[in-house]
Amino acid sequence: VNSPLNGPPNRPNRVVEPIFQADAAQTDLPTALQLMSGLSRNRFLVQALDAGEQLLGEIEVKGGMVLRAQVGGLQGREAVFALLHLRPQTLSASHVQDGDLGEPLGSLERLLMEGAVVIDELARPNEEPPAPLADLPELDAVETASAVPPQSVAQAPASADARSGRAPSSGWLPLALGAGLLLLISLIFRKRG
Amino acid sequence: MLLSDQEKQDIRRTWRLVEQAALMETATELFYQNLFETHPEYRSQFPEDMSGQVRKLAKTLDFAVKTLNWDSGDWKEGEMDAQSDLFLILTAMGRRHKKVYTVGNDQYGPVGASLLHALDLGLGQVFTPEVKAAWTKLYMLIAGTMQLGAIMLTPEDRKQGVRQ
Repeated sequence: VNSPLNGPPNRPNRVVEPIFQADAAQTDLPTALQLMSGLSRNRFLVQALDAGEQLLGEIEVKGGMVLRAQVGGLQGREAVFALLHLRPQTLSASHVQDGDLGEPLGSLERLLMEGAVVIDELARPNEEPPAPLADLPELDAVETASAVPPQSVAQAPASADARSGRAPSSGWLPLALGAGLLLLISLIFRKRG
Repeated sequence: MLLSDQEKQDIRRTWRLVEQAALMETATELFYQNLFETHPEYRSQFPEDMSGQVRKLAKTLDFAVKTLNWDSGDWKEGEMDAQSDLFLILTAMGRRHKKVYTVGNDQYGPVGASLLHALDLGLGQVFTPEVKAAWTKLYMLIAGTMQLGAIMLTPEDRKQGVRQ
């Protein structure tokens, strides 16, 4: 799926070769990422797609490290957490050849653990968040930035997709949901700070 | 589910012992013996003469262990072609096991238990709880990847209109 988002980086030497698609009801993103990263040092791109095969978000991993992630306007670690919260219809994986590794976002295992903490906090927004884990100091340093005003989320109508818990099939709703996630993640980090 | 550097070292060290003691085929024989004792219904899915099967399993395990010759600090290196990539090889094996040998997801558990049993018998005291945990994790990665292979659609499948 061609990314309509800001990435992946459009470099002439970058080669993206599709390897598989899988029904997200039969597997899940963290599992697929761990299997790829646990057994191979090749670079893989995994894209989360909705029922209309529209891109919801994407992540690149190599040898246990997360190189980049993107969901709507979110990038970096926040995008990893937002990706873990999505419910895509399909996962699409590709092998990527790109000499530019850039600065990784962190180890996959650690980001998955941090993501689980964030999602747990999102699930109970009315409670005080727990004290920051002593071994996760960099969580507080994550910068948050959103170009989408919060009312976009409030104005988003409840769709059949949203009610069914499946990924929405229209193009704008994932962006609104991404913005909502960003807002919630930002609130959590602000509370922690 | 990811293997730590220590777990990879434990796997490599104990597999070397299996190799040095020329236990590789014995261990795989023990594996099949245990599997067919605990699950005789699986016997019909295998050929009468098991010698080729034993060698194949030993070779697969040997390849898996030797491919995992990298630690977390080596993540930048090691790009390899699809024919040598353990993840891609295992997904292809998983597809084949599902389509040709009709292996179901429920069979991966007993197979893993028999593999650990064979390693336990072969390695004896060296098969400590930590080593067992490392091998269990490796088997979970292998089985999980083969199961993923069984459900995935390749670009060729999609061209041919195969649906999940």
